[in-house]
Amino acid sequence: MQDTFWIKSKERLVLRTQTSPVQVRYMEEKLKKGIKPPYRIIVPGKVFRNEATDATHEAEFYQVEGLYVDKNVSMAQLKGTVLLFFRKFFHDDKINVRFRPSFFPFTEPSVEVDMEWKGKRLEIGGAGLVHPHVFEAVGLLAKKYRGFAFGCGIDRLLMLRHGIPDIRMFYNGDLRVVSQF
Amino acid sequence: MLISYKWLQSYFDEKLPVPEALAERLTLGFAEVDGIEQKDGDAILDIKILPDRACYALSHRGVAGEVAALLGLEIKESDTRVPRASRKIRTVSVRVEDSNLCRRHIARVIENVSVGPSSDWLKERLESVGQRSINNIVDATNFVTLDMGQPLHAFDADKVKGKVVVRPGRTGEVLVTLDGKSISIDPSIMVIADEDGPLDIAGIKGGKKAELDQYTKTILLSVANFDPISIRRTSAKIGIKTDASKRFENNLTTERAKDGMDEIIALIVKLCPDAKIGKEIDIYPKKQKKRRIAVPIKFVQGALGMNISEKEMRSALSRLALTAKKRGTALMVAPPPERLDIVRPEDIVEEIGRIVGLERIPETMLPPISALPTVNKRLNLENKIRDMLVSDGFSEVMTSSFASSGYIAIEKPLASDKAYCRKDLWTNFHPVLLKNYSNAPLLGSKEIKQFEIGKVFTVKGEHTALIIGLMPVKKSVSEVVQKIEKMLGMPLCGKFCGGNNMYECNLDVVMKIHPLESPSFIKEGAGGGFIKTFKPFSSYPFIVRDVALFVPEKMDAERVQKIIEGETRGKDVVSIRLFDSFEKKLTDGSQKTSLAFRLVFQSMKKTLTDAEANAAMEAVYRVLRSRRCEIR
Repeated sequence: MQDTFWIKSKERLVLRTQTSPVQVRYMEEKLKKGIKPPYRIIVPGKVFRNEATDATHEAEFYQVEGLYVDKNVSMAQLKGTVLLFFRKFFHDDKINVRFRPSFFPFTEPSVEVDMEWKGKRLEIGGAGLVHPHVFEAVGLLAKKYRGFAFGCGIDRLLMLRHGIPDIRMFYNGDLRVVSQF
Repeated sequence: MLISYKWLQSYFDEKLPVPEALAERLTLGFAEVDGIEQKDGDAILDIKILPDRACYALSHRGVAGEVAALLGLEIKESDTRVPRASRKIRTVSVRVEDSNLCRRHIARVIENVSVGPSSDWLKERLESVGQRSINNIVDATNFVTLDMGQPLHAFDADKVKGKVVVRPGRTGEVLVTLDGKSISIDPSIMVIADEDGPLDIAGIKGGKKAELDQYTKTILLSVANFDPISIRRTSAKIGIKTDASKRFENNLTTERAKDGMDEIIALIVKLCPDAKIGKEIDIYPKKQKKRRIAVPIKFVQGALGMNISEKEMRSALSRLALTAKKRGTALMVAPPPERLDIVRPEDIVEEIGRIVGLERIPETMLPPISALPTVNKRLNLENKIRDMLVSDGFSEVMTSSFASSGYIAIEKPLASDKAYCRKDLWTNFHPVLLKNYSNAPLLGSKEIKQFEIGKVFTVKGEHTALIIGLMPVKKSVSEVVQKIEKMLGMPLCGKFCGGNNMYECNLDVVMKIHPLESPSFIKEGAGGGFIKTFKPFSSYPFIVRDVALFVPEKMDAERVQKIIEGETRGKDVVSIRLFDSFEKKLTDGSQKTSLAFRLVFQSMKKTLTDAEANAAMEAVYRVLRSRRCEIR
């Protein structure tokens, strides 16, 4: 991918571009200990993208990944879960969630998650049902289990929540910003 | 991909919704429409075709199929009449060396063409989506590609010498592309060649050697299908991306190559009525297999979480031209050949979901859990440290993970001061501490207390570090460090950086030894329903002025503060803070109270001058004197 930061090394390491690899890592760790689903996790983490920075783009920012694996998991539960999160996070029960078709290699079906808030539609993140490939990769029977996963940028959520105009304000350590909260 | 609304309309008898409404429908059910451009009475939709759908949707016909499915419209029957082959037309010999890389090749010679300018309708179509008109034959091939998705190429048959072969290139061969670039060929690059050498970089770009010109009378049409991975690698290697390569690298079906040939000869005969079509030479050793996917009806309902009937499912599938037959409790779905994106039941779930409408998916809550969730042990430890520091008046900052020096270098950094992963927190934390200290008056504070927790990258690998800093420099953080050590019951083993006012340590060391807990609890969100809104601040310099005064009896600091506030309202004062007060005993036994206030001046619009601050202070003195205060 073009926007990946590569490390100068023989192993061709990268700075992760998204938090989704955690899905596999977590399931591997649990299965090694003999713990089978259900799994429900929330994973915040820093990610890196090699792109020009401006008020709405940073090369380093935070994402949060959610994963739920069980026997009967549905897109409806995914929608219900992200809706609950948005309503709690923004303290607003009038928020609605809209799905749009999308593509991610690790989910099928895949959707973009939009939030409808105060008459505006805002793109918040990506989501979908865990792709059978992901289960196969960790040694879970894809026929037996299903899951949903979502990921979104924490910075953008905070900017919306608190009216912060510039994403770079999160990473310059300026107490004129920090001390307001 | 750019899609012309007029072109799209040509697929339907019924009038399409207005471009904006159509775009909205496509965005919600197919792919995001990034923009609509009004252009010469047409509307051009920029559709971000998703990578998995690029195998069938990078064309007007592909998008028309989606429009038909989403709106429940019928696509017009094609009026293409495939012309018959004439007798006694020249033949060419074609050979494919590796049928894994060139999965199908159809060739046809057409005699008696006349190359010239295109008809207006053809020019208009191409120009609407940003393509330049070249000549009638080349335009026809480009039109067919944009119309139905199959790339194709026309050679001047008189410039092709001997037998044609699709083969790996040979080291030392050079191909000059149609736009005049010399490409060094090697065995990893597949070419279409004649006896003399390469004519074309297969699936990517045509060569100059057999280019059509105004004297061309006979053409050789090549309609092929190539291995997507090979095309992608070659395209990246030679740095050429074309309409053809973009389509091939997304895995086109071999089945539609024949349709491509039928479309192009029909169009050429329409443009050059005297053209004579030769025999079709179709090399297609491995036919694409027919696929059928069994999808249990319950599986679709379960995955969508929606009560959707079998009838609705079948109707959604048939709108997408996916035939479904019932077998037991499942549907056997047969996708058309170009739908190579559909391979497993989950793909069918997606198709049904988006056609019935993702907005119809209800919002369902998860089943309750028996045990409380646990908090990640490391995060819990970090949070304990955070809570302690914050309760001690420290603010948490985050600085960049990049630095101008370090052990781990970035291949293509954004800037030279971001060329490495930071080796410690101090590098970026220290300047931020100094900057915040310079802003201390604005923050209404004499000192700055801050900390950061973050990953750092050393030769040994990455670890989580903690840094605590205090300003002014003479201050020491050792007390708070000891407090943390006491809380954890173990030493932090870090080091002071420079003076005693900064201390950095490796938290991974702590985490390795510390008996980490993973508590179960649900913390209610902080703020209790109230969301603080960011207040903008000025980026101009500020000016500090102090005023000290003796107050008359019965006047307290609050009253003085009010008086100063009243006087300075609207005069760019951002902070008024009492910073000193004491009682003075006079010789006569009475007492006097002295108060000292610090005023910070700063404008949102400009740099204030000393004169402006002084003038404002004079006014403050005046009003205080008038209230019987004694300015010291």
